[in-house]
Amino acid sequence: MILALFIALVLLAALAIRFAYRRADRRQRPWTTTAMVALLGSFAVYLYGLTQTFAFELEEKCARQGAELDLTLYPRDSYLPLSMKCNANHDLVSSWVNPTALVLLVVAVVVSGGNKWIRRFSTPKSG
Amino acid sequence: MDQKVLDAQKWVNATYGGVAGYERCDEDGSTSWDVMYSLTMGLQHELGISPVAANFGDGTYAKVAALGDVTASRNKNIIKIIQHALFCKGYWAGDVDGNWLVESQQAAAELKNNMGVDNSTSSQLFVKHIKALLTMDAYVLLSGGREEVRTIQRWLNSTYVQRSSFFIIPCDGHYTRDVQTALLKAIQYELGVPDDQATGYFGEGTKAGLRRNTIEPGSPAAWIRLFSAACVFNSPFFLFPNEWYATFTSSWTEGLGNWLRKFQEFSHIDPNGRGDFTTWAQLLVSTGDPDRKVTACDTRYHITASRSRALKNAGYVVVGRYLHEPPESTLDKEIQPGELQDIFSSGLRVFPIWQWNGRRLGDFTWSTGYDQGIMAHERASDVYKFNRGTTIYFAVDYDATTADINSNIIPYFQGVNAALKNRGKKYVIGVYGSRNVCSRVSAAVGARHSFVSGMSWGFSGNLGFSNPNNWSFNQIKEFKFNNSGDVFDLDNDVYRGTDIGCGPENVDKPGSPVDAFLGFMDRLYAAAVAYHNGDERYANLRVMEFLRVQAYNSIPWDVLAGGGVSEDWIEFVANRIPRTEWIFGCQEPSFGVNFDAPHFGAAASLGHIWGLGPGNLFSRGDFAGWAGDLVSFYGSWRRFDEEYASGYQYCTDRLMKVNVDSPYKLEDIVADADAVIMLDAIKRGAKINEALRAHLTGNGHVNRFRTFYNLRFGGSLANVAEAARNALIPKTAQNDPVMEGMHEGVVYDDAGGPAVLPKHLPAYKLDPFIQGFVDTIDRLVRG
Repeated sequence: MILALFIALVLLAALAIRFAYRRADRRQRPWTTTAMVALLGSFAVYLYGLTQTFAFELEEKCARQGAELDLTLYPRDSYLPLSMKCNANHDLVSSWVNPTALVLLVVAVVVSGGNKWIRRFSTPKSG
Repeated sequence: MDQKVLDAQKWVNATYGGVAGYERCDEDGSTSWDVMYSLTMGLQHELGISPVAANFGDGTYAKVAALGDVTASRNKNIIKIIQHALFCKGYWAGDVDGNWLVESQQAAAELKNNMGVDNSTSSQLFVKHIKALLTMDAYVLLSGGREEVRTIQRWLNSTYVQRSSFFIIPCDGHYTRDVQTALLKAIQYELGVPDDQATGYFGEGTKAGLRRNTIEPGSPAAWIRLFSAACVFNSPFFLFPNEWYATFTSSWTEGLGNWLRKFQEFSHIDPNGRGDFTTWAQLLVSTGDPDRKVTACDTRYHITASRSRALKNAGYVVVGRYLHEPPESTLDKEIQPGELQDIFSSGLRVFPIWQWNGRRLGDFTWSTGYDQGIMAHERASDVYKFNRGTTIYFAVDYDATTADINSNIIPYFQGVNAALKNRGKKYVIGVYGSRNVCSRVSAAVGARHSFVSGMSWGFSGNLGFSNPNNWSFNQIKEFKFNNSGDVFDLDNDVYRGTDIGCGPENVDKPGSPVDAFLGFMDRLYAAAVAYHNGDERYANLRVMEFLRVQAYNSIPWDVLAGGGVSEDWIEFVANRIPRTEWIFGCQEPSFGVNFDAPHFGAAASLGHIWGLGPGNLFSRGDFAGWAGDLVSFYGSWRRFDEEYASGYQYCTDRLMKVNVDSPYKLEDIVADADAVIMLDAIKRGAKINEALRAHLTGNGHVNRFRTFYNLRFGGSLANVAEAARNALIPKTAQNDPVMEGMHEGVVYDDAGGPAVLPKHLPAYKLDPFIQGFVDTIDRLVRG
């Protein structure tokens, strides 16, 4: 079931890229594709980080990473930035997840902006 | 019943039944020592020994050795004996006709390969092979054994079988007395001890040799092999956060160094990461280095104020003293009036010991355990006024075998447990005895702490057993303590610090270890009522959610609960009760284990939201509690599939134990059972803080497992089995794909990756696992 969900997500991502690619014209395609890949990459990294917060037994998961669970820690988790702490010094979410997701998101936004800029200046003049 | 074994039994009885000294074996088709002895006696007869005896002794050894390759014998009965023995060992030896043909040769070659003594296809069998063949030793991995241990066993056989004093050891993956002796002999050979003097005894010569052989990076391969073998034999042990396993190696590795430091920390010796003499001794014998510095002691002598000061000045922090002694004893060893004050006057602490004879098997029965449990309670409570929650160590002061432990010692402790329960379980059971006694009693009865009689390292219960995970004291040396001319006997005990004994604050003071936690629960409940502006309808759930969220607040849990816990509520509590005053556990009164409040909160809150069952069906409420732990435990079994072919054995060894790390420890079922009990109380209108107080300070906790059994399973073991099966498959009242997905996730998480789901496991594998769970619940219910 979990595997089926994962495969479905990958297929959806592939379809989204293909759809965007087809809608774009020839000059826009590299920009559109880059923006889409960056956006989906950001989403994937975030999703990966999210799975790191999954724990049926948080104490055991922390223990497996050599960290003790501080029961009085508050707040322990957040979604932005992504975090699930065992104690003040140990986070289950890898340290690279949040910066990578952010950088990819910025790339997506910047490239989308570039794409719009191309569209604006490449529109044929009437008359 | 095995037809081939039955054939062997019939043949050996029919052939040698009239021989002088021959003892007939049962003809039941089961391999046992009886049939092996009968075959041995048959062999003796064929070799001309008379009368025969049920023992492969020196005379038999010499006669067999004189034959050389026994399979070349022209005596067809000797060949038949070997063929029958091979069948009894589980090897297919072809027709038992006295002819050493291809199938017999293949069986012999396979046997030798399994023993590790010959990697060729040679089918010749010499005296050491025959001696080993006529034992009950196994040469294939047995359930509960480890492949890493088996690798070492085969290596020891292959490396040292040519040594005259070395005999083939089993290769079943289990660390036993014979295996430990073999390792010690191997060490002695490497030290240059002549073969005939290598006895496997940890004597002065061996100690001196080991002092010269500190193991560290760059040590010779032969020594690193022996050292890492000793490390493997002492694996695993539990030290936060993991169970630690060593690997057999011929060169120093980072992993070996890391394991070593953890082992040294676990054993309370200098964590220097080197295999010095103290570490060698700790790995090889239960006493370890008896001359190392310790900070605990025990004695049968009274501790006067003067002795107390002297002990304190000598570096001791806690002393073990006896609660009572039988009337016929002249030792006068019990704590005297005013003695506790004398002990405390110097800052020393005390841990109470109960020994009522306890030096032979006949001293231990369920009834004597019950009587002594009552007496121990009365002495501790009425005479010495030790506080609730104090651990009393009940002594088994002789070399009890595993058979003794199963037949008498465990029933004795069950009797003690019943007596303490009868008196409200004011005191926690500890056990004093060999490593084997401590481990088995802790597993079977839930003894919280182990006081190991490590000093008697030659005990069969210490040789071939590693230190129990719940060891608190290790008695390593007996000597005479000299207090300025006042000389008295003292035992040195290594002090781990997991049981700190009693100080003046633990004597004649009201209350119990749960008071602080229950006080926090009162404040939490009051906060929940205030949060809802005085409306008490939601207060119970808010309290449970608050407990849950501290350790069970990840997305799966929130999805399972049907929503996350309100951050406003947590913030509200944080503003009302400082975080430094939040308490999420306490010493549970019946077993002295941790009362895991977040675990309890998770089980109770989801049980409250989703309900349990109905009946034997599986629900989210069950998943959050007893059943989820079972699913998790199943996953861990799949992780150890190679070691534990039998799910029943896995349950027997690891389910709901106080001294074994697993996803379903005793403290987990305590929290799960209490959640079910509290849900029932809440259903009847109780406030959770008050119900929990009544449960933990009254008699509720004493009978918690029976109450849980009645509430959740209707008091029927058949229901336990069906509910467990439904939890594992899983089978719910309504389709719940979300929970099914998480169910799979839990299995994979604990299995460490993709694993066979319970619904795909054949019945012959799953049924014993379920039966193991049922029997464990039954054991807990019966106390």
